[in-house]
Amino acid sequence: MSEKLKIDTHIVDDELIIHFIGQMDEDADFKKLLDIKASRFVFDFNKIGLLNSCGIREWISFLEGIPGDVQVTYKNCPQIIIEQMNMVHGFIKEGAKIETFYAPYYCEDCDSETKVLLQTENITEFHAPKINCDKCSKEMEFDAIEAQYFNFLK
Amino acid sequence: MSPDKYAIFDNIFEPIVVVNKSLEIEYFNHNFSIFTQSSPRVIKQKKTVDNILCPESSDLTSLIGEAKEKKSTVLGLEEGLSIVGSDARFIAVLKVIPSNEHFVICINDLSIENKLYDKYRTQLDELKETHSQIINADKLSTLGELTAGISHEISNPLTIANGSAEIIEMCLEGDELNDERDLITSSLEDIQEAHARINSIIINMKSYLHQGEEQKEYIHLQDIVDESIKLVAPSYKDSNVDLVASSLGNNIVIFGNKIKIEQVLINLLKNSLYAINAAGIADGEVKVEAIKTELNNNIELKVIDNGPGIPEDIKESIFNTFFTTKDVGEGTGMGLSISQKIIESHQGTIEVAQNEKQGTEFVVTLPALELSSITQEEMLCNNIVSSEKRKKRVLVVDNEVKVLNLLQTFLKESEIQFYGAENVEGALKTLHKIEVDLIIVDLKMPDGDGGELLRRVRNLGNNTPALYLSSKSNTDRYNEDKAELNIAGMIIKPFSKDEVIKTIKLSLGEK
Repeated sequence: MSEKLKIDTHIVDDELIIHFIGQMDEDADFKKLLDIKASRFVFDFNKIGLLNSCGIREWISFLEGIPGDVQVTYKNCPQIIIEQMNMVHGFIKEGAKIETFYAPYYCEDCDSETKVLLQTENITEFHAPKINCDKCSKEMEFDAIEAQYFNFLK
Repeated sequence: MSPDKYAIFDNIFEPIVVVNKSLEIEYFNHNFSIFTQSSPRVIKQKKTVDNILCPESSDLTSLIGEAKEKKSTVLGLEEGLSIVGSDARFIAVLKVIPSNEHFVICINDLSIENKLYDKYRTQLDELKETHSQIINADKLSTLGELTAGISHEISNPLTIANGSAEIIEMCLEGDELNDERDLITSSLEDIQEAHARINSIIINMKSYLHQGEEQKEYIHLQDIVDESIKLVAPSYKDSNVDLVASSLGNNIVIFGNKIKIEQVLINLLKNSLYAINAAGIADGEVKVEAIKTELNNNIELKVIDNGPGIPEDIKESIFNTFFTTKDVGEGTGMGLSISQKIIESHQGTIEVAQNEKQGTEFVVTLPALELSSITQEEMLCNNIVSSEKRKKRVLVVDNEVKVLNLLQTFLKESEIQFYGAENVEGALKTLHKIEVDLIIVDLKMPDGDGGELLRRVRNLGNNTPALYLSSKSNTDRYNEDKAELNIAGMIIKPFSKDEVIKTIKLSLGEK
């Protein structure tokens, strides 16, 4: 039995900040969020674990229920969320803003992989920004195919 | 061969990898990278697919070898699939498609389906268990309501037994026991009879409360009516309400769960009694009737009362769980809801109709035997297979339900599909609906002769192997008919399990 997705919410001014913790699967229940009135929804995916197609279906259904005048922002999206954004139509609500997301980098010298939090505004022409290794300070290589990974920004 | 040739695979959701005969990766799509949680750099480093994918049962080299040899697509088994160097484990089916000197490996990830199946299977089992507990709670509640009447029914024979014991005691105080022999004998008989009555009541109650009752069997509807009436009769007697059951004879046989259908009938009879009592009707009467409708092959069991009837505004709610018109503590509101579910599990319906004069008429409609027997078997079997691969089907025609139940048990243990019919017409209807591999007919049945049935079957151009089922005295008849009616053999009553299975398997062409 999977661990049920925990949804933590808090409201600052008129902004509803939502933290998702755990697995986004068939047991995920987003509907209760629709009862909260706010002019801006901020989804923080930093602690999301696995997600499956049933969870994605629930997610899309939930997004469809968000009123059109609510501004939606995605933050701290890990690689699994980006992969779904690139594959599944409707995973990003129309007009929503992706503020920050993680991207895979690889340091050849240290032979280490790392996920780096990127600001969307720093991505130009769908190219990965240059990032240096924390240990050896050498420039790391982007560890995915840029055209595919940044497709969600189109 | 350029990987561009496979670029179309990048738009496919299935993880796909193309390898050569040495398992060296020539191409992989975007979803293969996502599925294996490996970056393109890592996949290229690992070079061969067996450094990434690790099927738990099959072997990639063998699958590719098979696809190469057959020059056609090879489908692997559904199996565990691990990713080398990762904790990730999937349930998947591998498909290998040969393409010139390369092989396209498609991965059908069934992990979610498997997980959901296990999860909902567990939840369904829990629901079934809860449902079974609710049904039992309803039975306990019903029995609780009937306790006053049943206690009264038990106290009568107890009084007789006590009185008789006192008589014997008095006799023993006398000098000449021989003079009192007749009186003592008669008193002892009374005691025994009284104990037998009490025993019968208790057995009936225990049988009603019996759990683990999913099994369906062939039953005379009359037996269900009789057993149900035995339990409610004391309460009716206490209330001076007449309970009239028309005799159905033994000509209506159903395929179902005896205790559960009894539970439905008892619920209906109890409700009628309550309605009549609550309305203070002096000449209360409840009738139980059953008919077999020839037109649509149904059996209708009716409970008709002359109570106040059900008001129109609550008619639609009466089958809802927890709906009751009784006072708090007098009813759980589950009886009709449970009854409806029981009848639906028998592919039947339960409806309420207003009586023409007054009162209420409940109609329980059940499919006739030839239909319910088929439905049961079809639900249990996967019939999307060719006639060569499916289980063998045997139709047994006998008016004795005990014989049908016995043969059903024997055949099920031998993985043979069993269809029962209680008479000639029922058998013909069954044969009209399904194709069977063997027909076993009882020679003597009230509505016709087994031989005559086979003659009608043969006249319809049906040459399915057949066996007679009868006593030894009818072997002459078998010898007379076997050539003309193409009868493969005879099962002689009484029979043992081994004998009957051996004869049936031989007739089916099995060893």
